Amino acid sequence: MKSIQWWKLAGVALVLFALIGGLLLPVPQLPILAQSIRNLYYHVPMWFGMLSLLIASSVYAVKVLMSKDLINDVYSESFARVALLYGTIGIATGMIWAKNTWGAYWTNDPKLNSAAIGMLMYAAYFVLRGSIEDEEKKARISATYNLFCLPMFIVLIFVLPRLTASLHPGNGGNPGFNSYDLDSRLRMVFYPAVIGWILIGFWIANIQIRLKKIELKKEQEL
Amino acid sequence: MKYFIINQVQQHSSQMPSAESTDKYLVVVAVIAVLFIGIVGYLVSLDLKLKKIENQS
Amino acid sequence: MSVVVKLIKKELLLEWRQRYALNGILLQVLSSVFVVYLAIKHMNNPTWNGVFWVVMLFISINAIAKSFIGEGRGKNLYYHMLVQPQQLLLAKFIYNAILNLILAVLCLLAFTVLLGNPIQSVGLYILVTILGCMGFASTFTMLSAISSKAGNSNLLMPVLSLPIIIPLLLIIIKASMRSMDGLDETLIYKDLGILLLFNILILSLAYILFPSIWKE
Repeated sequence: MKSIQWWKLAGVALVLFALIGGLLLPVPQLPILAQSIRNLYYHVPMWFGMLSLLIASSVYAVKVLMSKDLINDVYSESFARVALLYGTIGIATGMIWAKNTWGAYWTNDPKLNSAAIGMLMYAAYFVLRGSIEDEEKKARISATYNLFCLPMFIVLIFVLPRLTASLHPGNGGNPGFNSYDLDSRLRMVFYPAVIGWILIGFWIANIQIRLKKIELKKEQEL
Repeated sequence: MKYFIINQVQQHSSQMPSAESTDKYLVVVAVIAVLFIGIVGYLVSLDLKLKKIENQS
Repeated sequence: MSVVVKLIKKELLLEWRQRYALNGILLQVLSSVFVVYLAIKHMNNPTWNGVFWVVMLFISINAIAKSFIGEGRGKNLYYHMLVQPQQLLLAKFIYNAILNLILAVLCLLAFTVLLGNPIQSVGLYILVTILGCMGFASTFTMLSAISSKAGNSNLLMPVLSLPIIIPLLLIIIKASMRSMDGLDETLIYKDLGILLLFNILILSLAYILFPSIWKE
């Protein structure tokens, strides 16, 4: 086991703790949310994970534009792909929670719509990648689109929901995950969950990147 | 552990969960943990395989 | 700056020479408004506003898509040799913003004639429309440049543009709805400020990123 890097194992340990502890440890009782507040440990870390992966992806997109090295494009794409996976899981966990708390899988809520649109934006990123043949051109154009998307995504997620009323916990006077609600019992599981899921996301991306590198090497040898 | 969960729920709701439902809850927790460990096992095996190939070349 | 002005003049001249393209776009405005008129007989104010902006959205995607997609290789090479990428972007942006505004005015007129005009404070509505058209123009000019580099550009253009424009579209619809209802003006000024900031954000992003698309 010692050949697995320590941060990967740390991620596994943190997530395992958050998975089990999230279901068994005590939580504060809030109106409406009740026990469903435990979804904080499963749903919210996905968005944190997605955002940090997207930022990593755009950092490598900048590197693509700065240098000619195509390996940066491999990084950028893999991070974006895992981010999309996290976003999908985030939406799925959110929908299950919404069915039980609000009574419908989907409501016309700015936070939900923003998340869905953000996903569409990054899905379009992969469509764009698919439609360019030349590797160098693909790297350059998709990196540009990636960098054009990220500020829009951030506006979409952080600015727009604050401009309109929302039912989502933490908005419009609903009890939620605001700083004053995040008491020490929640924090004890929430922070490990966020850090753990981020680490796992980077691990998955890491495996993908190494796989791609080996493929590239094989192609060069042939 | 069982006592602890019953205590937790009892504090805040009028319904007293039966011992049976607490058992079910623990089974759910166990299944989730096993699923996650399965996924991690898959990731570890991939990681090790990749390491082997990387070292070869 | 004089280069930018010359480029804009050239665009206008070219558009004037190939009037069939311009006529096509104008006809598209009229026929899509007519389709809306036939499809929805009675509409309340929010529907009027929403439909107006959706029609505007599709018209401007179509109109601006060709700003880079249609251009031949030779023409691109010509631009490469003569002008800086930023100058080209600015010229295209200003031209597209003007075109978009003309289309918006036409669309507004057609809506007024066919569906009535429920707008309370016209001045503010026009201000929102100007800012909105500028936002559409900058975003779509950039995305047209991106999709012109890929195969299947005509399909790619709406796929890339529709999700990205939604944040702007939502702000525009909210702001224009407020000016339509003639609500308290201070509320609208906040929306206008957000719109302006958003425009600046998109334009500066496009300005920074455009050269990396343009170079071959």
